[in-house]
Amino acid sequence: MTHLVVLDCEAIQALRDPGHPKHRRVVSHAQVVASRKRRAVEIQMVVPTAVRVEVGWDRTSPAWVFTNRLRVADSPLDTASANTAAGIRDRTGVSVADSHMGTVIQSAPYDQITVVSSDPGDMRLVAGDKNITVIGI
Amino acid sequence: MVMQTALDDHYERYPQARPDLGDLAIAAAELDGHPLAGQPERLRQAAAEIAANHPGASPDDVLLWAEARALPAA
Repeated sequence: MTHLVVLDCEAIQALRDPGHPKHRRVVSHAQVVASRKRRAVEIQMVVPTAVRVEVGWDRTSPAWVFTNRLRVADSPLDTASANTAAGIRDRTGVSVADSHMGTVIQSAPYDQITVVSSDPGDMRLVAGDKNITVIGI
Repeated sequence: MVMQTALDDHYERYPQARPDLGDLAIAAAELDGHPLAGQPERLRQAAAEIAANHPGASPDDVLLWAEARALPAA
């Protein structure tokens, strides 16, 4: 059983900032992922790179050290995923970052996909036919 | 291991960021799409009950306990 956890803009912002009202909530999700990884559960947190751009997450910046250490993997916007994202944006009118979220969700070869997002409605919209779990924060 | 070290360092610096067992049980339920994810107070109650007798209980233990408590009595 493989499990992918995709983080949206607000989830990343909450994770980064200890003063954010949702910080402890998103840290709780990261803690559960960390505990499961220690038990060799196949679970991975990812961030679409367009989301990273949107929130200003520069991995070389000292301001993002804690978030970097959480091993949230980049899901890049390559040629194929850019095409898919463009289609999602054209059909739904969501932001570039959310379109990239949709691309990651739709193309992920995982048994289970969970999205941590402040906008569950948009996430279900961009997920298309993919069965996902959305955590509204 | 690296991830847990990062979290432990963060908790040391920001103690208010450390989730309790109830927070973790809710997070685990949410990540899995568990039906009890929508009943956070029930999960917090189960966490408080199980932590009283089993200080090392995990979030998954809390979910099992909460599930068992949700079953109708035979």
